[in-house]
Amino acid sequence: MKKTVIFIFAMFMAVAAFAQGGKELYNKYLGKDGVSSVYISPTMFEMIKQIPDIEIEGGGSFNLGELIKTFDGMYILDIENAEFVSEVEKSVEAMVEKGRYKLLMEAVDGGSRVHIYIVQEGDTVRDFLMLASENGGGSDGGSTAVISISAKMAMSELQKLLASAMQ
Amino acid sequence: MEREDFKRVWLPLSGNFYRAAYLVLGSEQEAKDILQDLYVKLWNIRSSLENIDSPLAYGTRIIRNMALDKVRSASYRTRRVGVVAMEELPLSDTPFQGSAEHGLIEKEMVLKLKQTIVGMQEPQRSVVQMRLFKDMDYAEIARKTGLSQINVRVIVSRGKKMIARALSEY
Amino acid sequence: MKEKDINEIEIPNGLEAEMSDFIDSMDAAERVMAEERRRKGAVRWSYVAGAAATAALLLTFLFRQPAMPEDTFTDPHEAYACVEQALASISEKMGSGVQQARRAGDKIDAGTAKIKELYNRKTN
Repeated sequence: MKKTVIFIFAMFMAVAAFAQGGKELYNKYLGKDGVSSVYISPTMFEMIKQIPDIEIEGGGSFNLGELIKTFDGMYILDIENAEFVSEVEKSVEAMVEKGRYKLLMEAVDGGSRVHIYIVQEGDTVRDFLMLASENGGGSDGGSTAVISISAKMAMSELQKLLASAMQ
Repeated sequence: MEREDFKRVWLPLSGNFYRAAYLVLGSEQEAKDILQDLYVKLWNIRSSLENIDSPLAYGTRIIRNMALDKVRSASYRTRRVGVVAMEELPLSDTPFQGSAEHGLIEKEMVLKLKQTIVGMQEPQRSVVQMRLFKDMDYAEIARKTGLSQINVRVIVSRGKKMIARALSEY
Repeated sequence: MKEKDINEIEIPNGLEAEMSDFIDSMDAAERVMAEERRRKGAVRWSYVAGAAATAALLLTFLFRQPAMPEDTFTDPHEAYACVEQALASISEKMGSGVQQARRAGDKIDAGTAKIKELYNRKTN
């Protein structure tokens, strides 16, 4: 009985940790005008892991397949609606202020801004969130892409991704 | 036998098959109809068609029998005796039981598929057609439509779901 | 009609194209159905993947306040391709950040070099 309680408690904790901001955002903007969205569930990631020969592109020492195996959920929002663009940015800022997310990288170059946040548990990255915005000129209201990944990714794996990006 | 091979062998013969059917049925619409039925049957047994020596003779024989069957089952039922003599090959001699590896396609199903696609909104309709009918890859479709690749993938995936739902009764 | 007349039967315009479309439709219908069947099989498999997984699923279901969104993809290969693409774009964006940092680094180096130069000039 005790074991069961501990088990359930542990599961609850795992679920609570998993319920991160990406989903909140996703649910909020799903199906809205000018928003295209992608959700890949943990079940689907399980199935991806079973694909026998994940072909790895990009070459080098970096193995994308290994990294993907640590993922268990992914939300993508592609927003091309000026009103939502600023709204999403504000929501992300609010989430960061609540202290769950830690800024990993910020790059502003002309009209494009990239912010990358992570949620870390010890040496493990549990959640990865990228917010990439582009200011459009004139009538084009700009666009923003949010990619949120829940994972159990070792910090070193993320560093490898960063290293491969530098090449 | 995959689609392109199938088309390469059987499509150029469509005119001959049509004529054979028209000869029996005497109506363009009915001949076309039975020609579609023929393609349904051939498609369903395509893996066992590779060793056919003369596709023209084989197909002509089948479509003739199908046309005759149709004539017989309709208004000619009473004058059956004369027609039976013309029978050369009963359909049961051909491997129409279908092989286990493909799902059997029915004509109604194809109609339903077409209805579903016609009922789709743009750009979904064109994207689904490009992907499923023309086998274009995602990058190509993205280029042609100006949509992002992820967007194209999503549209195709949703389209497939719609089709699967429409075809689920088969 | 006699056998020699058969070639006089007019073939409707676009008959071959029409049949070609028809074959495409059959092929498409078959592929969609095959995929659907494969997917159903896979999902069913995951249901029997042990009590722990079932419990996790159930709890996940109970404790998540907003309903879980529907999976965008039904085919893991497609989902994988999408993840791969997303990672490529992340990598690209990260790369641009890193490059910027490098440029900034170069500028700082140039700046310190200048200071050093001035300093050296002064002391000499």
